[in-house]
Formats: sequence, structure tokens, C-alpha cells
Amino acid sequence: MTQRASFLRRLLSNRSFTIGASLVGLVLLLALLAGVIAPFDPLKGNFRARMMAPSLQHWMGTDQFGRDILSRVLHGARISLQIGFMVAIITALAGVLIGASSGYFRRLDGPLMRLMDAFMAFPSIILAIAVSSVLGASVINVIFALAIAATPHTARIVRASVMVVREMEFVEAARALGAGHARILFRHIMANAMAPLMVRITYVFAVAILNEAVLSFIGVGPPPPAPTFGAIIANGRDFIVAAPWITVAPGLAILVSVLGLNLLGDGLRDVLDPRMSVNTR
Amino acid sequence: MSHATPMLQVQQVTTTLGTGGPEILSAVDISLNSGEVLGVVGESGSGKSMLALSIMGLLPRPIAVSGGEIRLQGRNLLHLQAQELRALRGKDMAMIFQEPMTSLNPVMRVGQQIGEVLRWHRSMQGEAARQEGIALLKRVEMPDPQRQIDAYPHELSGGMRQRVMIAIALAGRPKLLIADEPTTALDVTIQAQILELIRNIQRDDGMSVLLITHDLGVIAEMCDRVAVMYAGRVVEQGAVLDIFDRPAHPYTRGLLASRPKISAGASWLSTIEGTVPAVGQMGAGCSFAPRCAIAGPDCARRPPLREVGVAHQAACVRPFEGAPEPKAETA
Repeated sequence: MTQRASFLRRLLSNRSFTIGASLVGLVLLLALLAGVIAPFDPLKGNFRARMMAPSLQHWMGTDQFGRDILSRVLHGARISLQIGFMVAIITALAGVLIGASSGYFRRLDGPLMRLMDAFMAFPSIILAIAVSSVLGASVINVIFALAIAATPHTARIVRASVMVVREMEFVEAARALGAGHARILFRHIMANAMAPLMVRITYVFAVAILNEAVLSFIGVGPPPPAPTFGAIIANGRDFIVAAPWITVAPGLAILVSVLGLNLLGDGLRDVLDPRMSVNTR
Repeated sequence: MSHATPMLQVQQVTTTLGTGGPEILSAVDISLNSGEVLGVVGESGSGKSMLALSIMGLLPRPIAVSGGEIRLQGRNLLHLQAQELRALRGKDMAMIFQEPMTSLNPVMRVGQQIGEVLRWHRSMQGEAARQEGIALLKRVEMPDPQRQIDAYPHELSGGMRQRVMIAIALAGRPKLLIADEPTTALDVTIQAQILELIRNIQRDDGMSVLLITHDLGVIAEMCDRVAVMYAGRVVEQGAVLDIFDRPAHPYTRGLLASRPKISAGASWLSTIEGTVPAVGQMGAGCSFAPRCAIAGPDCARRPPLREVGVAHQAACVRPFEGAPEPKAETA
């Protein structure tokens, strides 16, 4: 009880966490309410209002089809956050499964980690591009591509913390009481090895949003007309001089989301693992 | 009692570091009757803890038992499947570790940790498990058990954590309790309380206890019989009074002589010169010979453990030789 309360108090008194959480919360709220607050249909063009600069009617202007950029960004936040969230969840599950197995069962360590090394030999964005091009462009495939790209590092991190906790005395004590492998691994070891994973996952979330934009930008992202941050930017790049608002608005949205998630992760890290903290304010 | 199957029989157990590697334990023989407290004493590196882990089947790889038998109530533990052995751990035999500060899972409440054992070994859950947990905490004389069952380990002192460890060990109603230096990490006043607690519970339940320690005072206080280990071997075994009054092995005599005595006003404690030979550095002969004052050429062959008195064995070619006249000063 007291432990939980003091943990929350420390989180809330951490400046980077509170700023990050507010930014993420804001983006999340806007994304959730997109259907209600978006002034226009994000997919419906209006030929009488093409390439309009920001105005009172179109706060962020319109694109070459006359679609309202603000509405597209709000709806895009929905898809982009969904992709980021799913990538984070899948990466966490896969990372724990692979990392915990190789950290705990010494026999699996070699094969699993060599496989992860093979994946890590590619820059993760190249890997994501390759997977996405092979699987074909769809939201689901982009999620898988990004998750596959993020899993090896995550598995590494989980493995390292599992190997530390595995040697702790309470693990041996649990074994002496008749605990089985699954019980020891998940209840006793993973429960004590969550901190680095949680920090890593906020980072994966942020990078997934960024990388989704990259994939969309080079044309292997979710297919149009789905408005993701990357798709809106990709669409606007031909008019970047004539109509810069088309690219600036989604760019700012990416900036706010990724910055928020990174600050949130930094704050989490400072509170969960004070030894790793760099800034001491 | 003496003719029944012993609770625990360790016969000629040898453990090696890797297959064919150096021996960590060499042909260790001990036996423990039901309701008996056997002390295992020896200095650091003598193999006491390795013996405990061998019995529990928890030797850290690549250390493994390479020969001998370990029988719990007649059942050879070395022939059991991993699954069967796991079912015995915590139920028929339980273990208390040295470090109460690190032997509890820091992210689980006391009640959950006791509850795990109750669920696995006694199929108790929910409110029944909670009530049993409180009863167990009461049993180990935990103050305010109703409240402490919801405590996290970091909220408890070392002595209280060791009480929790004992409660967890007792949860499966073990017949054999292995206590590996249960009081070494505790304050002296707490040590006495914990020892008394173990002793009382042992008497009430008729549990067998294998007590590992390097503290002869603890042995004198707690044990019925004692096995003295040196460099992975049992060098002397017998009733506590025999060992204290008529130590046969020169190593045992050295251990007894190096205890501080209040009566003797000397400012220097007697010591045993040298150190325990490292694993793999032991010769074919008596491993104590290099440090032994009465060693001779006949010590170049390893002396077997043989009877030197009634239920009193020692592994020495010259038992009792050079021993001072027994004095009536030991407790």
C-alpha cells in the first residue's frame, strides 16, 4: 500500500514524467474525441476549398483535394497511436517471451540470441521496410513489421534483467519450496525485472509512431486514403513550398506525441531505476 | 526409534564440478533420525552448504552429484524425476536460507508468499490460506500477524523476515527442515530467539532438522548429534556431548580450542594454521594432514570414517592422540 502510494507520489513529482504524461494524455484525448471534435470528414474532398491556407474555417488549411488537414490529423492520431500502441504491446509480449526464455533457460540462450543478433544486423527501419514490402501494405502488416524490428533489442533488455534476478537468493528459496519453472520465471523473476522493460516499451511506442511515418512517407505504410501522420506528410511533400501547412501540421503532431512519450519514459526510468538516472536537476 | 528407517540417509555422496571434474564433496555419510537435530559444522568452504543443496536437489550447475545415495524416508532422491522432486520440496523437506534480507521476493506480500506454498502443497486458497498464513505467523511468534500478513518484505526487520522464512518453510508441514546458517546474518539477541523458535517448533512437531552452522555454540545449544566437515568430507560424527568432551579428530579439537572462553584469561585465541585446501588441490591422503600437528607418513592415504566410540566415528588414523585430558568445562 504505502509502497504503491509513494511510487505514485514520486512519479507525479518527476517533472519529465508529468510533462510527458500531459502531452501524451492530450494527444490521446484528441485522438479519442476525433469523431466528435473534427470539424470535417477527413476523407471527403471539397473542390471549392483546395489548397487553402489556415483560416478560421480550416484551422490548419486544406490539401490538394480540399480535405481539412485538422480533421485528417485528428483522425490520423487515432491510427498512428493505435499502431504505436499495438507495436508496443506485441513487442513487449514477444520481447518477454524470447528474452525471459533465453535469460532463464541457458540452453535456449545461444540459439535465441543468435537469431536476435541476425535481426539486429539490419537497421530496424530497413528491417521494417523489408517486412512491410514483403507482407504488403496494410495497417496490420505495418504493425507486425515495426514489432519485428523492435523485438530484438527488447528481448536483449529483458534477458539482461532476467539474468540478474535469476541469481538472487529469493529465486533459490522459491525453488526450495517447490516452485516450478513457469512460476519462478513469471511470478518471481519477471515481477522483479519489469522496470527496464517498461521504460523500453514507452520508447518502442514513440519510435513506432515515427517509423510508421517513415514507412508511409516512402510508400510502404498503411494504404491511402487512411490518414496516418506519415501518409499526410507524404501527400503534402509535393506542395511543401506552395502549401507548407499540409506537412507542418502532422509533423507537429508527431513531434508532440514522440516528445511526450520520450519524456514519459525518461521520467519512468528516473523513478523506477534511480541508479540509471542521468539528470539530477 | 533407532531401528526405524532414518528420516534422511546420505551415503557416500560425492559431488563434482562438471563430469569427472574436481570433487566438492567426497563420499559424505550422514544420517538423521526422525525427530532428531543434526548439526553440520565446519569452516567456510568445507562443503556444508553444498551438502544441503545436494539433498534439496538444487546444486548450481555445473556442480552435480556423481555418486552415492540420498534417501529421504527410504526414497532415493537421486532417482526421482525433476517433477517428483519438485513435489517433495517445500512439502517433505524445506529449507531456510542464511540471508533473510534477500530470501524473500521483494514485490510480493508476506501473505502471498506463504499462500504460494499452501496452494501448491496443501491445496489451500483464498480466505482459508490467509487464515492459515496468520496462524503460521503466530506460530513463529510474529508480532501483530493480522497486519504483517499484508506487509512487504522491505517493511520488516531482519529477524522478522527470518520468522517469515520459517513460517513459509513450515507451511508445507515438512518432516525435514534444512537450516543453512539461519542466524548468521542476525543480531546476537535475535539469533537466540530464532534458535529457540526453531528448537520449540522442532520439539512440538517432531520434525527432523539439519542445522548447518559454523558456530559451535549453536551446535551445543541445539543439536542431538553433530557432523564435522572439512574440505568436503565428514571427518567426525557423533553425539554432541561426545564430540565436545572427547573430540577424536585433530580438526575437531582445533575447532573447539579456537572458541573464545570466558574462564581462560588469555588475550589470544588459538587458531588452526593454514587454510582449507582449494577445490581440486586436495591430495590423495587426509586433507587435514597439511595443517595437522600430529600428521605422520601414514596420513598419506585417506583414512576412512570409522568407529572410535559408541555411535562416534572419526576419519583419522590416530584418533584422540595428543588430545588434552577431557575437562568438565563444556556445556
